[in-house]
Amino acid sequence: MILDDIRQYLRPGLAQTTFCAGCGHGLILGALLRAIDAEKLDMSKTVFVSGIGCAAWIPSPHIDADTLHTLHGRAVAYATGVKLANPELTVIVVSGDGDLSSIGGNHLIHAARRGVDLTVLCANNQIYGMTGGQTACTTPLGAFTSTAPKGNVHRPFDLVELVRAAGSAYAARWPVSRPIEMTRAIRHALQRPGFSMVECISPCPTHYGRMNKQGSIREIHAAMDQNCITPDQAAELTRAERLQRIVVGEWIDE
Amino acid sequence: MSESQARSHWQLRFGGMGGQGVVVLGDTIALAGALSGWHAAGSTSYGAQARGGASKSDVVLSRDPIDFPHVEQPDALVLISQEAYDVYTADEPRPPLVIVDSFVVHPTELGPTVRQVEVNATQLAIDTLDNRQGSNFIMMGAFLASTGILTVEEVDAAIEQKMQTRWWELNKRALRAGFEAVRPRSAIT
Amino acid sequence: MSPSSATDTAKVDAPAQPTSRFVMGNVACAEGALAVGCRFFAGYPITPSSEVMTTMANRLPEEGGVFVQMEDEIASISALLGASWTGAKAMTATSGPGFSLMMEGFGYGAFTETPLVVVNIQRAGPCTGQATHIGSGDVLQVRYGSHGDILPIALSPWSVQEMYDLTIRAFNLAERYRVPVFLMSDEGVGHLRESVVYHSDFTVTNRLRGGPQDEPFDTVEPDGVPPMPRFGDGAKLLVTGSTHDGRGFRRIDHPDVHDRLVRRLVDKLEHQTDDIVRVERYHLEDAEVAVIAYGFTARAAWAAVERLRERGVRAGLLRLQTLWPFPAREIAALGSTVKRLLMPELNLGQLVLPARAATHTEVVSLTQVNGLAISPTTIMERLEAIR
Repeated sequence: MILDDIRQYLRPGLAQTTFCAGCGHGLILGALLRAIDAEKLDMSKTVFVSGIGCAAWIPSPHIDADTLHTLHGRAVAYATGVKLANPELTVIVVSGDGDLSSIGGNHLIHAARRGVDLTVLCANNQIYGMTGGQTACTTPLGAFTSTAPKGNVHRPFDLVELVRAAGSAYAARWPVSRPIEMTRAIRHALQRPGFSMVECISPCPTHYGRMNKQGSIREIHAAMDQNCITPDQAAELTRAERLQRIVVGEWIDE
Repeated sequence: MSESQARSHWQLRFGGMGGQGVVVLGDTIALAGALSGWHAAGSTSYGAQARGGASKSDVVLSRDPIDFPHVEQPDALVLISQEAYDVYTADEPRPPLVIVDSFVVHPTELGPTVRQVEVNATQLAIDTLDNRQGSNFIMMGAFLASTGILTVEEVDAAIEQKMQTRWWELNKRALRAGFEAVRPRSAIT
Repeated sequence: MSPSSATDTAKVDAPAQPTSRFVMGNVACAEGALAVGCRFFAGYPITPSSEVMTTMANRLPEEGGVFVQMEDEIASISALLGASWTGAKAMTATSGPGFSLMMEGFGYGAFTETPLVVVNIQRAGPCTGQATHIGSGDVLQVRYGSHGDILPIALSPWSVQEMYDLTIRAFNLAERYRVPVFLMSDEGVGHLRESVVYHSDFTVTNRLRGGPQDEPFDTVEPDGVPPMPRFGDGAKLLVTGSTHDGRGFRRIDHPDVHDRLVRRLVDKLEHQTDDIVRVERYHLEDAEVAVIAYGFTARAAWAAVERLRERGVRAGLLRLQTLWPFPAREIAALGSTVKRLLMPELNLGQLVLPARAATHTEVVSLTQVNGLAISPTTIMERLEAIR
């Protein structure tokens, strides 16, 4: 049904993705391709750049366009080179939270500061999935991981606040349980000149879900959805309380 | 002078504090040499800081292609700080010619093999040019008069090629003031 | 012999000749890059290489190119890799600490066959070391510093003229073989001021773009260099630093694909040493002892050999203009004609290791790591002692 609309953007010959059952990354791929379809992007002039990790495989090899699967953390720096060397190309970065904001955190904030016209999709599953469920800089306080067996003791980054403070033109956050809003946000990010980031909250049932006893994927999506609050609701909370919730919406630099 | 002009190889060292302008002096004389048909090489040595600390600018001028472009034994030293004087005149063998700005350097006895030329360049710059920054090219003029290696006009050409127009007049006047300050003594020597 | 490999540079502004200028080696390097068509520079400030970057910041926009100052050296080489896939000739310049950071980008460039040029103005390491002083302690790092089996191309200039000429050559080799190429210079040459001719009578090599029938990551051609399409031309490229097949698909569990890829990437350079490796020979016809030297140290070796010749000592010099692939054949040939070899280096004896492996003749190592250039006198004394 819906798949038919976006199948034209998938690289021929690929039977399935490598994502685990219940992983949210396929939903992010769907949202991205629907946004691309709606924006009528010329796929021969669009380059997808990713780093290392599960989310880096969202565009590579699935999307039937130029893809640059780079080194861990460096996607934004490579993308900066692509965009500056050929400004006619639309450059979209798709990578994970660890890749973009931990090992690549400096590249992320400097790209936001520099204002290079990039659209960055951060697939945030709040954990290192590919390497076996280690703590990320986005793991919530108290959450269990393979490197925090008694619960995470370090505060997570608020990635939207991070890139906004660094000067992003556009930032948004939606969970994969709200694909329509996520698709709309990606469209807005593509329309907006300068540095844009959409943080896509994505479940990792294999590691995060299992270690934190989150239950079935249906339960995970329901809990994720119920955890969403608006910026107005967030304003009523303390910083510590906010970091336990998913503040959804879009933040535009006027 | 004629003996000086006959030399086919010069090793020159300009020493001072970082930021004082010894690199400009070295670059200018090296460029003037290159523009006048010499093979020329310039190199600098300095600390990590942009200002202060010992700094030197070495120049080799040769009638033949230059194999090793660093200064091994200077034939002449131009020194515009006490620290540079203390450091670079201590090298053995002693350099045959040492030219100092006596406003900032207090020369010591270096023995009979060393000819020391004292120019109160900073005072001269204040008195005659009304600009303390002219002292460097006063030292350059004194250096030309003491060595005969290049003419004032040959250095003018380098100034014009290397520097912004607003510096030309000051530096050319300074060059001549330094040259005149040393020339009579030079002739006697 | 002259360190200016192009033309007589004594004449300045000679009519109908390219203009001779008196500049720093780092400036000549930037001008060479511009002359051969470099149109992208990304970098991060570091002594003693910064003049390459500041020259590019001023000159690249004049030539229609792009200059960007990145947040660190990893970002710099990463931006080059991205830019190169758009078809741009790209360069960065750095020194020891930044060079260490760039090793990961080198690995990516070699494995994805991405042409670019990295200039290393070597200073006295290890670590932060002596930032403003000369060293050549990175000549094994460039060979072995990135994980896995990678063979680099590394060139070593000894004059300001060669900072211009070898930068041009570095780009041509990068485009010819689809590899990162290193200009392994040093503080002595980078900060040296000499006359240089910005001549334009050189060949420019450009990467082949290929057609739809070509695979961008494998080839049956004997040179082992596939054509390289660029982003935006509809090739739907799959570029990855993981093991990949000829079309670029990740093949991370296929032993044969990995074996073939790793071997081809090394072989495509090792089989081309006739083209890549260059040395210069001075007074070697009748030499009984010879120096093997590179970079600024080769200038001291040249002076030492000339002075010994004046005293009747039959000394000679083999100057390495290419460091990697290593000139093993040239050293083997030299070893068979002299009694003993001397290798002065501004490190604790790095390239003397492959030199000793190349010849049965004794290669004496002269090392100096005090931040100062090796003097002609030091080399003369050692040569006299071993002859």
